[in-house]
Amino acid sequence: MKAPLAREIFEPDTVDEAVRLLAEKGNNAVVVAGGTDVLIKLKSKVLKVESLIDIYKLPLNYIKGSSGDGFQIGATTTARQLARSELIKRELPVLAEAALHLGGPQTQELATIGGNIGNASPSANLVNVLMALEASVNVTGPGGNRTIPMDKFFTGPGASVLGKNELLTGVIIPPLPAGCGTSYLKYALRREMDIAVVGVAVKLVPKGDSVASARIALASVGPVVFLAEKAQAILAGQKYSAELVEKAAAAAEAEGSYITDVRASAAYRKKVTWVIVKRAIEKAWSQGKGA
Amino acid sequence: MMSVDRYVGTSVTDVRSVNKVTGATSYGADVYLPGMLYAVMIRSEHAHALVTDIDISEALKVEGVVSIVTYKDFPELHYGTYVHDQTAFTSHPRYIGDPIGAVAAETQEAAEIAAGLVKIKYRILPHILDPEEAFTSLDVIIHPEMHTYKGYPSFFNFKKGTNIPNHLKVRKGNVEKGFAEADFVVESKISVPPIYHGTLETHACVCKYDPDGRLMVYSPTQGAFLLREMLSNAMGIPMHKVTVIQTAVGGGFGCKISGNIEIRAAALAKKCGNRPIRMVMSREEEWETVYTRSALTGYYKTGVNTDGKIVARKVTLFWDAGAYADYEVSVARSAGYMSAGPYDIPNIWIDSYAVYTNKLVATAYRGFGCSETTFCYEQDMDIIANKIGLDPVQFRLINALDKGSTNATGQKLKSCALKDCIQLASEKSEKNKKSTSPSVKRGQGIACMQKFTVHTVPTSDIVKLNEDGTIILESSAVDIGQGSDTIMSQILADVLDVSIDTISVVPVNTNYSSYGWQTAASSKTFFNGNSTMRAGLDLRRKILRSASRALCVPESDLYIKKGVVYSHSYPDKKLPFSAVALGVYNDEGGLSEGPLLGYGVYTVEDGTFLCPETGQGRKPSAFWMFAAMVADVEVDTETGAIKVLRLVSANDLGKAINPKMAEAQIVGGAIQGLGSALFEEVLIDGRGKVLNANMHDYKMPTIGDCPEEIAGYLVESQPDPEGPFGAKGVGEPAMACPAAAIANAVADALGVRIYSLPLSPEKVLNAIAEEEK
Repeated sequence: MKAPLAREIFEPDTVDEAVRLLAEKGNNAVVVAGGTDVLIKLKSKVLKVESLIDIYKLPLNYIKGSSGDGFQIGATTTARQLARSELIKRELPVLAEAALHLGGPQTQELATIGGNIGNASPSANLVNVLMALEASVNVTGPGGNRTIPMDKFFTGPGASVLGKNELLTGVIIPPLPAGCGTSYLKYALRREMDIAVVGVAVKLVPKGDSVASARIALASVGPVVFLAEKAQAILAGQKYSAELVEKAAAAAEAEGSYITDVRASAAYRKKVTWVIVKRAIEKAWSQGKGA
Repeated sequence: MMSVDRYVGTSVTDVRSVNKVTGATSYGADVYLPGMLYAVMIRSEHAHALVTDIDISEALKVEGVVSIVTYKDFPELHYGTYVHDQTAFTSHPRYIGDPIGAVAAETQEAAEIAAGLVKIKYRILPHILDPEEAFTSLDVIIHPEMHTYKGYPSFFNFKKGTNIPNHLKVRKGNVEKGFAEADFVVESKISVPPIYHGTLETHACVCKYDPDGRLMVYSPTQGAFLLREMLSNAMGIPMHKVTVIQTAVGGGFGCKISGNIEIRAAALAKKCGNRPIRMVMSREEEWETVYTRSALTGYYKTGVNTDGKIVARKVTLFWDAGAYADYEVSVARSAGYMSAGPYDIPNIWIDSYAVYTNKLVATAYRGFGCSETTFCYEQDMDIIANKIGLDPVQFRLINALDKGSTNATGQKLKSCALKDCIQLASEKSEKNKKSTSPSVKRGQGIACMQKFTVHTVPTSDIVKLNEDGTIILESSAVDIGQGSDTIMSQILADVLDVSIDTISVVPVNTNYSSYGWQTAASSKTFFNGNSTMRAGLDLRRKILRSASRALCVPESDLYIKKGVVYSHSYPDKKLPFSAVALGVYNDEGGLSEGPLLGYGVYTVEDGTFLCPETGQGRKPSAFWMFAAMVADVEVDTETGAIKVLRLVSANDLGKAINPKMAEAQIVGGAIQGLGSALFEEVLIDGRGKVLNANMHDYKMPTIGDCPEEIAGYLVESQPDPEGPFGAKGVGEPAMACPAAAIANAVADALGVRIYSLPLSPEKVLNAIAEEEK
């Protein structure tokens, strides 16, 4: 017989009601959707709150859009829904791939895209890919709505610009340029059910034999998921070659910060980052050229 | 269900499966008794210390707390399996987590809060974590009173005033002369880290202590009778007042072989009036404070001739027992005498030491050191083969033991199909060196193993005939998931010639069941198979005698078919079992013969101990099991990641009573072995604290890490003359080869070798870099 994890649970029906509840309960409340991060934190007492605001009733479970117009995904869309969505599999296969490697099937069934973003883990699978895809986050607060680019959203491990009284309602992904190639490689010690040693998501826009522009998002090698801007700059406008890719990978490796812990040493993480960035760029290039 | 003439040799569905897959099976933590309290341990925060004071006053004030016991108010009676070196609670904690006391409360949470409020003052003692350091240490002695402990002489060959509770010696031939005459001498040092058993079910028990001094314990133990003995010793209660009730076991692998939390819970129950108490380990608590598989450092020196014949092998093994050597002395002993490998070597010298350190307790883990020593000697075998330019398979075939060979301890093998295993496993593993990318290299490796069982253990079983002719088997074997209940049902059905559907196997209750040793050492099919067979034959004899009286036909004229007794001479005379279950009436109404019950005992009358000075003995193991496995791997030379492509195993098990279940054992063992090869290691810091006690930081393999092909071939070419239907065992050998075979495959792929487990990608990259220097 365990004590309950929180004193009260609210189940708002509308976004407005949820935002009102957040304003009212403020610092002593946390939003919960799938609960795959929040419940673990509550159980281990890393997080202590009075109230849970469960948003499963909100109309935020949707996947919409097209490659020409861009995509909108509601905050309570689960990893499983992303992995199984015909639209996502066809138009944004990297996002389906990232969803498929988010924990095991039970976790995927519950975990939501909003939760993956709101949790602000430096290793978040979906965030990794969304950032490469130039996604933005939609937020509703007492003062109305705002949209924040993914790469400006995170401020540290578990921390973001999301206000205590704001609700993350969804993400928008801009249209993909024709011929653009994407890739997502998650390297972990175990093939499934593991945190990435390094996660790399790449979006490359080719122009003939050259790279017109590149987005490279790195996970698990810094306090937040971030863009390897120097590596992107090395690729942009240059003729694609093995040397160029290795140069970009070296720049990306230098942009990461590496720690030694029980899973791997800093030296190993660094070495593998170079390898995986290189492979991810190669994969995105080969995938894009065919399009 | 099944309709066959003979059940033995067919793949009968596990008799426990319906309840398991529907969730109806009741495990240790599923036992709820009226008025039950929740218990939480008070554990040491230091690796080595003396408790100078303990204050429970604040803890007692917590609402819902009923009782708290500590080392102070419980007599420090020693108990253990092979060495009585533990007490329920201690004032001399020897590892972080050593139980000092326990709290019982109305809720789990209250017990947890109260345990956290107990104030303990310690005098810190210097601690030792490295077994080789502990081996030579004269100033830090973890058990100064070791020489006063009770223990089994052949398992507790201690050295007074040291940290060495057991030293197993094997002295065969003249090893120095062998080295002098050998063409090559190869030396290696190989190590294996501690790993976690990781059973689905954590340790759990429910205890009740009655006012008249009777103790009742529900436990998912691997050995109810051993647990009863330990409880009796630890609590000072005679055995007739201790009842152990076997619940279903959610996995054991050795971690539930010995009493642990049951002893502490029983001590606490004594102070809780007659209210039952429940103690269930959380995953984290079990991981940090209960058991590991022992770490091992092995030194091998092998002399070999250019023709590939091994002439001498010297082995020194240091087993990290952790704070208590209860079972680890047995691991050091047993693993010691199999550590020269399944090879015919004339000169052998083995020193195997169990060494105390201030770490959590090491215990049995699927093979008693078998996988660990196999990892050592099988890498050594490839190093040698490589050095003298022989194919690894050929080199093993030259040296492999055979039927009639005399092994390291001087035992003549009555059944050994190792050569068949080697040939079969390599035949079924056609080499494919083509890799998918230039940065990926492929390799193949082989490993062989041998595994002893016990020399003898007292084993008995009871078979009861019910009034309706159905049968209850009170099996003393504990089915820990390996399927012994099914195996025994198959054997009994064939012996009695009844449908398997008319047999129920009931779990052990020490009050009713006849004596049986633990589920350990891959011994159940052989020992309980034999005693079940004898109990069945006993009942069969009694049924025929009763039927003879009832039908007025001589016994020699009767036969049984599907639960009915028939007469050869008078085809119309027949009796179902039900007609004789309660006895036979004569014409006047007098009753004789019934109710019917069969009893069977099995022991190995010619089993022998080992000579303490030479390790020699005619029959220290009732039988020997052998296996060979070939592993194919792919190594990514840029990330260091190893992908196991295929594991092909051939196991000498004498006879498969249930082929599918035997294969399942092999496949399960292969995956468990793969985990130990690639990922698993309990990391312990300089204070003695476990750092990765969770599923995130400690990796066990998932299905994603398994190769597409895991094949388990059953080799039945050498039935054991004493085994039931020729059967030996298979459970532990299943896990022995994978780590060694995978390591050899990695070395084959890379041309460099990694001498320690796990084969982490980081070690792979370091080894490649080292080679390129």
